[in-house]
Amino acid sequence: MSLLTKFTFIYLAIISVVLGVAGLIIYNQFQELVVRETDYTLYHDLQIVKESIRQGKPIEALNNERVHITPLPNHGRTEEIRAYSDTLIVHYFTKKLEPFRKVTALSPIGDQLYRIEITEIFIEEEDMKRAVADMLRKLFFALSGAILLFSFVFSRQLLKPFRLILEQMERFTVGTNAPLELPRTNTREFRQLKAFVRQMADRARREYRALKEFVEHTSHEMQTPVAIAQGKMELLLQDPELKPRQAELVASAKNALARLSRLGKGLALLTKIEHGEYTLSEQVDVAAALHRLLPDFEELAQMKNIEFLADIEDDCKTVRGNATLLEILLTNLLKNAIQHNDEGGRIEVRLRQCRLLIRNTGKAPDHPPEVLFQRFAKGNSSQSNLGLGLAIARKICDASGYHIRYRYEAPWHEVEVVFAPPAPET
Amino acid sequence: MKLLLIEDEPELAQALVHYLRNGDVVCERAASFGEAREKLESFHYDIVLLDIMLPDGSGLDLLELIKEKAPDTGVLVISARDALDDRITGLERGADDYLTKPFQFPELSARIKALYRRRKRQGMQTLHWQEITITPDTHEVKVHGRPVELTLKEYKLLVFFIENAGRVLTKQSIAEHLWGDHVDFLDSFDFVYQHIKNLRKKLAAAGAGDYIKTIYGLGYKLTDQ
Repeated sequence: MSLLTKFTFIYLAIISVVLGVAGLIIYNQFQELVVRETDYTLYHDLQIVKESIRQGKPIEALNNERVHITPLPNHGRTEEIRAYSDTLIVHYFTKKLEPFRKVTALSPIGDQLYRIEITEIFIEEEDMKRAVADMLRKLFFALSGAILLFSFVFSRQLLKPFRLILEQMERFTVGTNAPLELPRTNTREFRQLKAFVRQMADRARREYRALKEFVEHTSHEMQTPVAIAQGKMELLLQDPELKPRQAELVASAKNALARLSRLGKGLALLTKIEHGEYTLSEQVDVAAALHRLLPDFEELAQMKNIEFLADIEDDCKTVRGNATLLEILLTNLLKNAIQHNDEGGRIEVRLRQCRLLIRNTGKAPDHPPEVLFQRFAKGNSSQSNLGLGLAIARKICDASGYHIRYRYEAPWHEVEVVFAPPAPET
Repeated sequence: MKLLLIEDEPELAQALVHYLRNGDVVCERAASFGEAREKLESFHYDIVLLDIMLPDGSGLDLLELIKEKAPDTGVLVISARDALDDRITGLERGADDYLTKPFQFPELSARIKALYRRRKRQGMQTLHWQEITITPDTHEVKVHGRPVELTLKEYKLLVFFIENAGRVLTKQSIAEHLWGDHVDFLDSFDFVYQHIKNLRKKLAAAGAGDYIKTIYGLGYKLTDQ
């Protein structure tokens, strides 16, 4: 739910509550007013009746549906007593029981004491409620309308810088140097947000650059010492005095060094692609590259008793890219298919309309697919895996404009690469 | 064969000189641009191993010097930088081959031999080991003058052995030579054994002696002892 919708809902809820409470208050005030006014009318009528009695009008003539006068013997009362009360009386006109207000007075007039009862019908409660409710409803609609208008017109405008900042952040990558284009705004919060985002972006880029340089230097600087160590071990291996047990140790140390060296080369390759050191506008022939590489991999697959099926259509002959990178990409994917396969498994390679599908059997992946393309994300695999292969494949695809996708559907691991056909010549 | 190794890293140079000096190979070393230029101007070499990055100059300039002074000298560039520019510039300016550090010594040795054969066009175009004769141009293998049918992998294996005769070859360097870097993910290189077995069988059937010796726990060695 968007912030705007939330705000709108909250406003509407607040309005409902406030209007509800306001309704109660208004209704109560209204009722009090009505009682006061009715009482005043009754008092006024009482004065008229008393005046009429004083003038000597016959009591029978004064009595009617509203007024009841009863003469009482006076036992020395001089003060008048008045009491107001609510009562229900059958209405003389509608013949229904209705709420009435009644004043009962004991009034000494001359020597005589009179009990005077006057009734007055209330304004009907239902009418009062309906009037209040009607008022509130109109108010509610007016306010809601105003709020909706506000949220869809003004708030949208107010939040626009925020949306633009978000868009920029979404497009942000640490790898490039494209400046962030943050919108101008005079809202304090957005200005703070902007400053913060810019700072974060700069820091992320700075740190990423430092890290990258470190990796580049390391992967480069380690090549010479590794070469020396490898060379010395090679010499050691040629020593006729070497005992088999010692030779085994040297050989396995040499293998470990070879792995280290490949790691360095892999990292160096990644940075070189990032630096755009490869021309990506060559015309490459995917089918031919596959035909060249497949025999080797078929042999390697056989050694693991893996059934290898290739179905290469000769149609993807002019793809924009780089021949070296294409070969690395294909090699990495094929290697991967063998490496993560089970003994006696199966590999299928298919090229159709510039879509390369490589699928292989194997254990279910440990990682979610997105992670597989990151550096050093090792699947459940043999220890010699460097975890760089798929990262390199991904980098090559990104740089060359191919789409790569991984999917696991037991028992198949599927990697699909969609090669971009060359742009039509203009 | 006369080799000049131009390499500024003393430890690596020492190991290489030691490794490459074998049989009829003479290997000299130059540690700097100046020393290399002096040697190149004074002597003739069959093959020059050239490190592009030297402390006092660029190996690429030496490359030009070699091409000018001794165009028949083969140049193999070795560089720690796997930079594509270096590779392309190197090959464009007349280098014959390129290897990135670190490399397997037997691989370098095989490349040197192959380069030497290519350069010696006028001489004999065959490779010999006892009664085995190989014509690299046609991939023909003969034992006692009679042709032997080998698969491409077996052929490459045999050439690799002969080029590294007398040296121990680990299963890994054999695998990498035959399948390139594709094998780096394999946990075991035991499959090399299968190919060697087949090669031995075919050579024996053709009447050649068993020269491929198994070095326990390590690999194999081509030897006549």
